[in-house]
Amino acid sequence: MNLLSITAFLAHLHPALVHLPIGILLTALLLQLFARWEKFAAFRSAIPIVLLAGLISAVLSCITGFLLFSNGDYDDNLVSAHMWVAITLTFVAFALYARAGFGGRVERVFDRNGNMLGILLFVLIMVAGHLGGSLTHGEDYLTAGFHNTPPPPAFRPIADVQQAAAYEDIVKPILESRCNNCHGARRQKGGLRLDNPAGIAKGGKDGGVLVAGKADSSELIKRILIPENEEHHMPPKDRPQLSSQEQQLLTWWVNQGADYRKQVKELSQPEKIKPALLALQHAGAGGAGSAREGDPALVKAAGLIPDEPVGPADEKAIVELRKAGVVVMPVAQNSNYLSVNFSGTPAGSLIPLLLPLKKQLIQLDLSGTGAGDKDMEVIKQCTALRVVSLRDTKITSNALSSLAALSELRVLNLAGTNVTAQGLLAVQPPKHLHALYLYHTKVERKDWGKLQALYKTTVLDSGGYVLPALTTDTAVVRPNIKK
Amino acid sequence: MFPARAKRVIYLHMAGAPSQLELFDYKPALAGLDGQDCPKSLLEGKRFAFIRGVPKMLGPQAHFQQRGQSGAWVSEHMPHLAGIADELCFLKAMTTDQFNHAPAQLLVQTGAPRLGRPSMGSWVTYGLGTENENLPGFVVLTSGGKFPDAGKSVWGSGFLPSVYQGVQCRSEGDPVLFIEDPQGMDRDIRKASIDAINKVNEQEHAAYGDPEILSRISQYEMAYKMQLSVPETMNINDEPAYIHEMYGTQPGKACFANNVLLARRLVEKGVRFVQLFDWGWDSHGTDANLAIDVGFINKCRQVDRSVSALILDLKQRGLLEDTLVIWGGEFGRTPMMENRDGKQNPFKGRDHHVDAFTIWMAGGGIKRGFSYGETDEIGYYPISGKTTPFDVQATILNQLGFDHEKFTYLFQGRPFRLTDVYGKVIEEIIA
Repeated sequence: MNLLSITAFLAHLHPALVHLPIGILLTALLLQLFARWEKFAAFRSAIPIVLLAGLISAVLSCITGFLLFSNGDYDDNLVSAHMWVAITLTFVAFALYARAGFGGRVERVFDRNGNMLGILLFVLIMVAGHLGGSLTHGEDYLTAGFHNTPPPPAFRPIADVQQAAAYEDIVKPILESRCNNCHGARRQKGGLRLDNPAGIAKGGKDGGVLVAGKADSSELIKRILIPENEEHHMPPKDRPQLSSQEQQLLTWWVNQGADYRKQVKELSQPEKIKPALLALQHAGAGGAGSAREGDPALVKAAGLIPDEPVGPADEKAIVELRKAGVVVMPVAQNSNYLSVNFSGTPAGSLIPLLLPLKKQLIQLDLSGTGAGDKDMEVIKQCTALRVVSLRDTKITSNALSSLAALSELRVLNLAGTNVTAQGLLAVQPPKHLHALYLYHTKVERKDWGKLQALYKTTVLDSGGYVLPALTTDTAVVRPNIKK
Repeated sequence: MFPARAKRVIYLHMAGAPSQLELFDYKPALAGLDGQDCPKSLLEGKRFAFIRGVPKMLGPQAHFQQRGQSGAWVSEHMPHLAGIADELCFLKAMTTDQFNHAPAQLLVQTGAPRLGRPSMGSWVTYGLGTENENLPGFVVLTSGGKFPDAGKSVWGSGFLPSVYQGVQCRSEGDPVLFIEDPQGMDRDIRKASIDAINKVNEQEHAAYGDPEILSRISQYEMAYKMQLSVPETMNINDEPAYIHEMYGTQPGKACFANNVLLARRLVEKGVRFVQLFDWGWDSHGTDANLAIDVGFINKCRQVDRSVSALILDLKQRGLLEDTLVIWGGEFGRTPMMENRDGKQNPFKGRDHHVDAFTIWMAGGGIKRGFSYGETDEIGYYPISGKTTPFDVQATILNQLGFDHEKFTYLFQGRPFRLTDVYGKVIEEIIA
């Protein structure tokens, strides 16, 4: 073990050690506050020794803190503020100890000067502690709970990616969202700053991070591409990772010379990068950088679950439906929204049981249940419904006005029913409807054009697909006899 | 929150492992190396099932073309599938670490290369139950004249209660053996006898508390219900002629196409997980049936029409919205020609390859017309978008509404999960 690693070890003790002076000095202050009363007079003699212990731990914290500071990595302003407040704090603690400890006159801490020192020490502990916390966790850590806004997606939507500036519009947002937390204005871990071209060019403690035109030799790219479990992988394992598209875009930019001014159209675009570039035009709607696990945009794009949470459903109705063989399930873990599947159980008398669930019911499968037009009068009231399957039921065009009233409807399956084109043309389609299945219905080919004109934003599926007869369907390959 | 995008799964397992290099992973550079000795660098530190010494490289034995708007490469061997390429999502950089069929199949289906773990279908039915209480939640159909190498463990329930194991059905004769009542026994007597047996079993359970007795009771009840529901569901004769034509079925025979049509009927009826095994894809080149330019092409033709029909049929019924279809083998095949024990094989063939293979998925909230992952110039190693069977399992569970890291079962003192300690949801392929 050499001297350097001992210093590093001591420096790394700092974040743990600082809790000692905080705790011990606050205890001393608590004693100072209460022991002035006769009731707690027994504690008076403890004050000097507690203050001394706090003072010693404060001095040790200052020393280890200074070692950590010399190792670099932190935002200068924040760190020096933290350091000076902490040093002042140590001196104030010493002054208070001097009043209490020297000459055995503990009572001096209860007089005016003693009180002033106590209050000052308390304020200094709070300030130093907060500044230290901001250094380790980030400045917005404490107040993050107050602003409810989710972190913005890496990319602002780009109207025409060819017109976009490669660095400003593509590279910079990636670095901002994935790297600058540790390698930005506030902190420069490893001496590296990636929030401006000068910083990127300068590199970190161990040298340059970017070789223009050669992604393979650029530390910046290499660190990102090595497996997540490797020690040197960036961003660190527990931090948000770059999506593969973001990786591709960075690599591409470096390979194209890492130019800070050029527009995308001025750079050559190999076939492989085109999808990633194109996806930027749709960013925000589930495009590059935003389509992540649990990303609200992703769920919303699918429109599967309403944004607003809902209270739990009426247990009694659920139990009764289940008893009849109907499958009632939550649509997702920890969601109160329900998916109800009759799985062919004759619907008849069970349909009214859906009404108590109408706030939670968003997916309903009545296929093969024999449900008819009358049942739709009830279904009509379940206005939260988003996915409805009436495949192979008895419904006719008369049911369509009820179904069209379901304003949240996304997917409607009418395959195998008696609905007609006239019926479908007579109603106003639900605003969000994006898929309508019409296989095996009375809709005729000649009306297809009119339907498509009315259902502009909906994918209409007529079904009736056929596969051509090919010789390969039946022909058998035989081995070449010559062998 | 994990919104469920799929309610049902059809897993089409091509047992024996089809060659990605003749189907989806087009490698023109490999053609240039055809017949040359394999470079030493590819063989160092490697172990193959049958290749010994220095094998020759084998160029692609098929013509490729980009298909549909997505431009996915699909070879001439699957012309129907080529026509629906825009419905599919290819994972082209799959890897595994098992180079023998049985362990590799177990890894794909149970998340472990050794016996004893519950299969994916068991986990899913354990977690979600069945949608149709008259049918088992997990049904297995096999074809190709041979069981999977790993035996019935690939649909076993492992340490989960045995009600969740796959129920194997047959597409020829009685769908389930001995499902008919014997002559002279009517349904009432059957019911009475099952009730009597269950009563005895309940007493047994009260005395010994073995949970497997409860499984037994529910299996008797399920078997009784299945006597009516299964023959009806498994009878494909009531399908219209154009559907038979679409799938290319051969009613009355045991064949893959019939199983595929059955798979659609089963998910339509609410069966949660349908697993098909088709044997015959192990194209070593040791005989004509296993030759990459003979038997392999015939295998492709056997599945091409029915699988394409399945996707289109699910689509027109609106079922592809929430039914996830997966097609693939347990590993890939080498870019080298197999030389069993160092000697030239009688036919062109490829050995087992663990480092790179292709599978595809469709429906169930997976991106359409999309390819993910890439292999090097000869299809030997992945260079981007590498995925493993664990990642596929994590993704399947994710689409069904599970967090694969939190979906566990306590056994022998520790929580177990399908993906063990591995697996990452392949976010890139989720629509």
